[in-house]
Amino acid sequence: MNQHEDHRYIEALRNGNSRAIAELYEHHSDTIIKWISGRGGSLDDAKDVFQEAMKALFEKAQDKNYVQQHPIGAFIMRMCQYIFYNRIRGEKREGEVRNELELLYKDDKEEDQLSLIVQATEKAARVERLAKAFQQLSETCKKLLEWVKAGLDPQQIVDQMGFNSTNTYYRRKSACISSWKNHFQKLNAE
Amino acid sequence: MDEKLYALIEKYFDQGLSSSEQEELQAAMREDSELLAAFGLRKEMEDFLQTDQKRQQTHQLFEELGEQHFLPEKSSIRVFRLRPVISILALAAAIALILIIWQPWQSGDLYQQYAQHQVINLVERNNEQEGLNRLQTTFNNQEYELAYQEVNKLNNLDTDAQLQLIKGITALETGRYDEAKNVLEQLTAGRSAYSEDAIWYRGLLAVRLENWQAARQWLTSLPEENFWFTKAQALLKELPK
Repeated sequence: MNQHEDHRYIEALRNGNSRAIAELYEHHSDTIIKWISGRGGSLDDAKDVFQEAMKALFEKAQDKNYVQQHPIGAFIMRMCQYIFYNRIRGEKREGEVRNELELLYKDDKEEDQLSLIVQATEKAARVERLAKAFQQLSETCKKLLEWVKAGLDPQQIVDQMGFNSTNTYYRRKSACISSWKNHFQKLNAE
Repeated sequence: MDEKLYALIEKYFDQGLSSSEQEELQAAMREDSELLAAFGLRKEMEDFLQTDQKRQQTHQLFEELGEQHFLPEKSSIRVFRLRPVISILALAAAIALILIIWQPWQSGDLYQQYAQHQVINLVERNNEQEGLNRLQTTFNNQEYELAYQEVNKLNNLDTDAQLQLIKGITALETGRYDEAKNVLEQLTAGRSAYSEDAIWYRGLLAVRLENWQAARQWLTSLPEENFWFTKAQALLKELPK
């Protein structure tokens, strides 16, 4: 698998290298503003689309097996195009953009790249729903799972939460996870 | 639904499974797609918990960078702002239909076939409003001689890449090829937001002059993410050998 030199940006997203992440904005935001403005979109539209693409790229970067094989600029551009057209479809103007979508992908020889983009944006949307479902948990569950997020081991969480034993912790955690799953599935069904 | 198997999934992510429990779970997941999906979702939730602090920090950084890089003054980049997608696509579909029936390119004029400039929208600028309005109207009406005269009257022409590109297009359309070349040359050498559009127009200029080799060079150097890329690829296929 050929690793492109721009794979360093994927590493930056994995490691939180803010300098390299800032370069992505410096090098590519103007192109996206121009492209979206050229299609009647506003500056806010461009910002929203770019931010959504960056969040999807962040999720993709969390897959440790992922290797960036293409220039990152073209990848971000394709991702923004995909997000932008999907938004228009979401506004029930599907018929209007069908031709343009087909044109965009018909000539795209990088079918793998398109599939990566679809996966990354779908993954980001699922993560967003997970976060939303998380916020619907009880304060106790949120607190318990926040300790898990912070990387505390079970005994530390038992101490923090005042549980009697690690068994209590596992039982409570399992109940919280189950509740979180239910909220998530309700959001998926909406 | 076998509660024991779901409890095993939970145990897998908490304390880990013994080898016999692991074998039992794996065998069950091979048979039960619902159980497999439950495992997949539980894994997503676990990954979320492990990465969410980093996610929140990175999203915060994205917010800050978004504030820095999507500033209102950048809306001046909107040189070739199109009319809303609905009208443009309807227009494009109509043009495509006419072109399919008419096939004017059979006359061999590749330039006319591909030189379909975007509608310009300059009304957001504050100074020289009247002159800009006249330029916008004449350009969008394809009155390129008048548009050429209007753009040359503007005081900030020399410092504004947007107006430079419009000057280059109008010079090209009115047969002032040397002038078009000079203007586009400066734009392609610069780092403005219009340098890539200027590459497309240098390609069109070469097509106009039937300099196929130069046309090929310019069109192939257009970056993939540019608006004109797909069109440039189509034009490249039609250039005479």
